[in-house]
Amino acid sequence: MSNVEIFGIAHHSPTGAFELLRRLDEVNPDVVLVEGPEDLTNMMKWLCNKDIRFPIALMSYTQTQPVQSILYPFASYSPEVQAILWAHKNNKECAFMDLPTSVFLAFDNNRIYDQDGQESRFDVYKELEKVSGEKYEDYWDRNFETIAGTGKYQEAIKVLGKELRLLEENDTYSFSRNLIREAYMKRVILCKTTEDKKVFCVCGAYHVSGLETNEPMTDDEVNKLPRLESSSTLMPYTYYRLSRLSGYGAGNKAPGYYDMLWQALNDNTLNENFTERYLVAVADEQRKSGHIVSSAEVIDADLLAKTLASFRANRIPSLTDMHDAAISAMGHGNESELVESFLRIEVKGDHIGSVPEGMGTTSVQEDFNNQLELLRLDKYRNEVAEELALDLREKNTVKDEEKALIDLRRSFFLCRLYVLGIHFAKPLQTALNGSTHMKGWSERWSLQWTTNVEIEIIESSLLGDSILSATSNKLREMADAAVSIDEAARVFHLAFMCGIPETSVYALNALSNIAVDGAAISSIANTADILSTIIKFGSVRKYDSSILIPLLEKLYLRYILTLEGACVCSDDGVGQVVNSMNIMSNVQLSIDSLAEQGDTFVKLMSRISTRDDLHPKCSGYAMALLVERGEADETLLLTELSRRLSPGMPVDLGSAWFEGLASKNRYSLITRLAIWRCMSDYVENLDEEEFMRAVVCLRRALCDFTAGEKSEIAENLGEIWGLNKQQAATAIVRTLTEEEQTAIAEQTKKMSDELDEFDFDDI
Amino acid sequence: MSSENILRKSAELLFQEEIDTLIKNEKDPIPAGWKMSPKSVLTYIIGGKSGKTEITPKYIGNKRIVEVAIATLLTDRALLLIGEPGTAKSWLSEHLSAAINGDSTKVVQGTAGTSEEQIRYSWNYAMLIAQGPSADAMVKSPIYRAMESGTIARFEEISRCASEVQDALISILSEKRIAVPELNIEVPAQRGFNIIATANTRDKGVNAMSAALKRRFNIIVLPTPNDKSTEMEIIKKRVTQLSALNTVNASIPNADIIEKVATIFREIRNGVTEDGTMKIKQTSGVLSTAEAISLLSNSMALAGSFGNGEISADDLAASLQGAIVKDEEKDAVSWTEYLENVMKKRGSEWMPLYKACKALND
Repeated sequence: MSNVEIFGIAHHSPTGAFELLRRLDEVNPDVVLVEGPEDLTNMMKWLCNKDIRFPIALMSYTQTQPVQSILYPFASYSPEVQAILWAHKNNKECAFMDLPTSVFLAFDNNRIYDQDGQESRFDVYKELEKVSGEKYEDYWDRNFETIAGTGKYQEAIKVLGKELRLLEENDTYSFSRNLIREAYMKRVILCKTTEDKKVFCVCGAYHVSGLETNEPMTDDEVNKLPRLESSSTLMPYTYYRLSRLSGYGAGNKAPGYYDMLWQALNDNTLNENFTERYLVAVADEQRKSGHIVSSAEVIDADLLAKTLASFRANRIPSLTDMHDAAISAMGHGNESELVESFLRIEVKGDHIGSVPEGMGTTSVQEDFNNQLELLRLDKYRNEVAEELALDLREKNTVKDEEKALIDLRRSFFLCRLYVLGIHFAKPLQTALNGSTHMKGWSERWSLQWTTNVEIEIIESSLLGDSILSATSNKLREMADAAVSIDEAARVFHLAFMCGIPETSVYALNALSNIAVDGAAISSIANTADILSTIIKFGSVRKYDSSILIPLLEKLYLRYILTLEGACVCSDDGVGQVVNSMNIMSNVQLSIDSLAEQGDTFVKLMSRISTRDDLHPKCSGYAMALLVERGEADETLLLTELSRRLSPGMPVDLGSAWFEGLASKNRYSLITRLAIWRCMSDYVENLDEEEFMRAVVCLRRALCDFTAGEKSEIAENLGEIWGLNKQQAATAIVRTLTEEEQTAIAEQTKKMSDELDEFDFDDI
Repeated sequence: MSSENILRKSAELLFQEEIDTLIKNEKDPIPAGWKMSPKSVLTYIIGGKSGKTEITPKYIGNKRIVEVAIATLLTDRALLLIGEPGTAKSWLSEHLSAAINGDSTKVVQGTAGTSEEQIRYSWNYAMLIAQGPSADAMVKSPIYRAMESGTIARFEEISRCASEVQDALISILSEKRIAVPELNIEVPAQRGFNIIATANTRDKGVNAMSAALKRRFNIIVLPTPNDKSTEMEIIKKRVTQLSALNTVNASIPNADIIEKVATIFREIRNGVTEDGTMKIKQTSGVLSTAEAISLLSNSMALAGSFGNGEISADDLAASLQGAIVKDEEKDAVSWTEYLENVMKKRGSEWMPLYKACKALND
């Protein structure tokens, strides 16, 4: 292999990139091979495009669900990128030489692949920390990143790579995977090598000795490799993702700092004013956040940093030296004063790379980018979450129809992303999070772009070619899969929110087709709720809701007919029934065509409230509805109340009825003194055992009352008993003693045990 | 007065051997005015080897802090050490000057009564009146003497003296010269002059320093010991040293006792138990490492003078009472709560101590 040079680097190391370029100029090879998946070679031309802005990542993903992906991030100072750019500039052949992505994807799932084995790396770092006495990043910074131009880099990193390799020989999984990769790379290298062609290989330092000594892979072995079908695309990336802070193994803790280092290397100012430049940047950030930093302090920091560097015979202060010096001279000894500025420079949270249009991306990604531009949302495309408030009403001050409705169109777009599971937008206050009775025209969203968002966008390309078609297809799938009417109604609601009329018709048909007959009462109510909300507020989203009305009427009729039967239910189910009564009452009142049918509704409620054989809570609630509508006068109420609370009636039933009554419109109850007189008489007449039972049941009924309401009730009782209102109130509302609490606990247990002992076979 | 009877020897006397060894084995260049190279100073402070001799560590904690301190002294910035009481600020200041100059005695103590004369110079008034201003009649302050000889002066508790007085330092630190108008001379500082100041963050703290003065210092915060084992190490070391010096007839407390004291102090100081499950009321005092050290020395004294030489639970309890309960009303309540809620539930090992403490606290 005499015509082959293997140059070891560390990924994302600016000094590595610098030394690499010098060596490339010296050797002037004919072919440049770079460690990276072979099948991504055709993406190299995109990396060389002048409009690209680093950091970006190459992503490969499988075509079928569940989608697995691997990510190859690149910063402008990554040696691999610089090698590719060099080859492009000098018109030399350039290719990736590692296993293709299809093999990598088959090897493992969904890990950001950091090419030197993540597991064992941690032990290695700890060992180095013990020996050198400082953190790995500092050690690396001092001994490798700041020695550019001394000619020592290549040798130093070769030794490091070799020793790392020796350490890892015990870790079989990682080591054997590397052996496979090296065998494949060797094969590629030998293929490209001929008598008269010089080949230059750029790879991780770890692999250098492997590539030098190992055998290339045979044809047979190549055929045995596992593979998964894959596609690849380019995506923007961030410094935050690249830094160790986000958990990326091969990352640098401070990519922004490395960026500065890279620029200084290229300007040849590393030895001249790099330290000053960094410290001035820190001072700048401090001043922007309102701190006072004088130039004198910056000078002191500079001097201190250089003195610290001289302790270890370094030519240039490392990042830690600069940090410690800044803390002492500019931060009054407190790291907390400076940490934000450090992070802004080194991690640059709001900086995202970009990939120009048409470049190796999927059509959904392109559509997404287009939409962002059209809707003027591109400024939200960064890693800092920001709120967006929308007013969906037509803006009368704007002439252009498109612009007048821009917020509405934005809402449609963001809802579509929500449906597709693309977490670019989080609904803070919209009808999507279940608040169907909110003002339909005001929405609040939180927008934040992360690399996961990009991955999710790419995954949606399995559903369609654009955001709109992907959403439409997804909703159709969901409508097909719906089994109950409220599931179908929810899909319809989503289609409505997304502004896709054809799909909402589809969902509506699905809804009609599902047998209304077998539907549970709560499903009917929830569906009616959704439909009525859309009927009421649909015009804001430019939706013609007249087609919904027949369906709603049908549901309403069904409800009226089946409610009574549903009121024969257990304690577990009564909550839903009562809730449905509330919903339907509101629906009846608010929808025009149903409002005329008020009489039927009232008659139904009267029947339910007086029947003894239904669940008492339902009856009580029906009475409460009547009271609220003004259809029940006081005598009726009192009669029913005393009937329910008469000595003959079991206590549980009585208090459950009361619970139902008290669930709505408490104020009207509290003000009717007669009710409380009735209650008081009732409780006085209970015997010991019944009293204990009543306590447990009534506690449940009254526990939802606010403290204010409770004390008003107590005052009422005081008045009834002829006592001083305030004193009575205080006495009643005090907290229970321990004895009382134990007694209640015992009684509750006794009552639930009774239920367990109930012999069902006895019926 | 023989040096044997001195209550507290200065650092350079105490560790004379180590300093001499370091100077003898010096291979690196020595800055102007210093007696040894920065590297040797670092070895002296954090421990290591010089030739064949073991150098004991003086400061147990983050090594990087000491590096930054030494680096500061090499520049023309003064050094300000701040931190909670009992975090070894004065200790570090003393040892740094002992190693660098072999003299840690040029100290200005900051108190409310400190005046400008103690920072610059004052006069022997009798001589002044009798013979008029002369060099003999001048009483030089430690800072003056440090400037003349190119050595380090120490200013303890700088934030305790009035700001107007502190500001006398401003021009000294910028111009590095003292003017004596009475004698029509100006004394420039020799190379190697610097000032190490210390300040407490718990009292008025560094905020009382004028911004102009603060700017002339590089500031280093000395933390309380990070973890229990570091604190225990510090305590053990110091207690051993102190007992050797003070000829107490008791044996050094074993690791168990030290751990108990360290645990109690850390828990009350941080306001939460070690496992983080229960909140504890903090006391009015700081409960620093220095107090833990003197608490144990105290216990040893009790054991040696009134007991059998081994620290018993009663000795420990007595010292704990004194160290923890500083403000009678509130601290007594906090201490009782700690005893009942935490110590009592810790098991048989802690029982004797619990009983002894409870007896004293009632």
